[in-house]
Amino acid sequence: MIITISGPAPVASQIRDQIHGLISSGALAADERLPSVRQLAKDLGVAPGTVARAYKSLEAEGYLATRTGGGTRVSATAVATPRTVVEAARRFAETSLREGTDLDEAVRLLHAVWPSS
Amino acid sequence: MASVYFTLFGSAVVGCALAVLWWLLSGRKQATPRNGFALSCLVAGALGLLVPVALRFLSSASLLLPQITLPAGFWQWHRDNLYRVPLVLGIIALIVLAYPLRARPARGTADLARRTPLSFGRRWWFVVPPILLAAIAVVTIAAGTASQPDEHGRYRMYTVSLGPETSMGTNIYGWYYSVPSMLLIAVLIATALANLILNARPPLAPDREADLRLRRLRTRHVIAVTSAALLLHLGIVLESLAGTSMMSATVSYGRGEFAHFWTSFAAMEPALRASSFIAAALGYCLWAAVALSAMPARRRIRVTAGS
Repeated sequence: MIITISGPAPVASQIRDQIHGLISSGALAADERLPSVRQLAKDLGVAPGTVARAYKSLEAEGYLATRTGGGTRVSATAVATPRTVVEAARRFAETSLREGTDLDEAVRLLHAVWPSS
Repeated sequence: MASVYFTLFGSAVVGCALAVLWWLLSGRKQATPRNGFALSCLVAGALGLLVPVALRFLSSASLLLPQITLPAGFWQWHRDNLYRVPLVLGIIALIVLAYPLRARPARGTADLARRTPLSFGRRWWFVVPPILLAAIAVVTIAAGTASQPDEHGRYRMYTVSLGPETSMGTNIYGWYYSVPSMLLIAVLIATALANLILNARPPLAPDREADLRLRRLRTRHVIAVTSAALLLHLGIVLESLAGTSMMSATVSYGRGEFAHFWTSFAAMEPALRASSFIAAALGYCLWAAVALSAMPARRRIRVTAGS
């Protein structure tokens, strides 16, 4: 789940748009916690206020929710894919990479083990 | 004489053997990058392993090598600092493991996964130090409440009454020894946490997989070194309490009548010795494992049929 800042568009808009894209595609699960404003700002090399603006914008649109002491999370209503499924998929991907299994083989495996309805 | 050597160094030998076994079975497969971090691991592990063994040898020099004469102040220093040495070594090793520190500038790219001090380790790793702390706390409080002041007012004596105005006494791991140890344990835990924070804070490197591997290795070593220091400290405390428990006396009342006196926890002596051995062996094992992780990894070469 990488976001990259490049080009002339305003940085806050780029951050907002990329996070929005990750949520919509299911890469970010419902209730998944995002990095803190400070961590993301430091990693991207931008001012914390820029990241805070992006988070506020997404919160106003209902994609993110902020709780005192609970950080910023993807809103429970923003994504259809449950967090447990996304986390299991990530673990499956990490294990496959570690054991040298490529994407095509991993998808074949999923097809094989998926219970038939 | 063999039993003397086993008593003195048996836990170190067993611990190192366990570490070598682990390294042969599984440790070799995990690559430590051939950079400054491998050297940090070697230095940290060797420090924790060799210094306690050397001190143990020196403290038994009169038995093993009578021709060696140690400075008079050594015995007092050794008695007062015996319990603190593993903790101080742990703190130094954690500082060594923090190197090399590399500033990593922002690259306009970020991973949205949260990074916390606990992000790069398995959950059960982080359970071990609190369990050891709880064990140390129980032993410390029990020994501390049993301790009494000596002639200088230092709570390091354990006495058993032999009669109206007679008692026998010996050294115990009382508050005089345990309070400085508790302070050092607090510094050890703080240093470990600082190390984990320094490990988690920088942004991920361009080679994400290699960076994650290195961070997991660092986290594992921080937990290992912290646990090793606590285990060795616990082992020394339990060994000391086993020695205290052995205090006994036989008092004659005349007319062939005798009374035997011993400590209230004399029956625990075998259990104290065994648990001391196990704790120390596990501590040495972890120190040796950290040092061994600096050895080059066994490379996996994929061979396809017909090649």
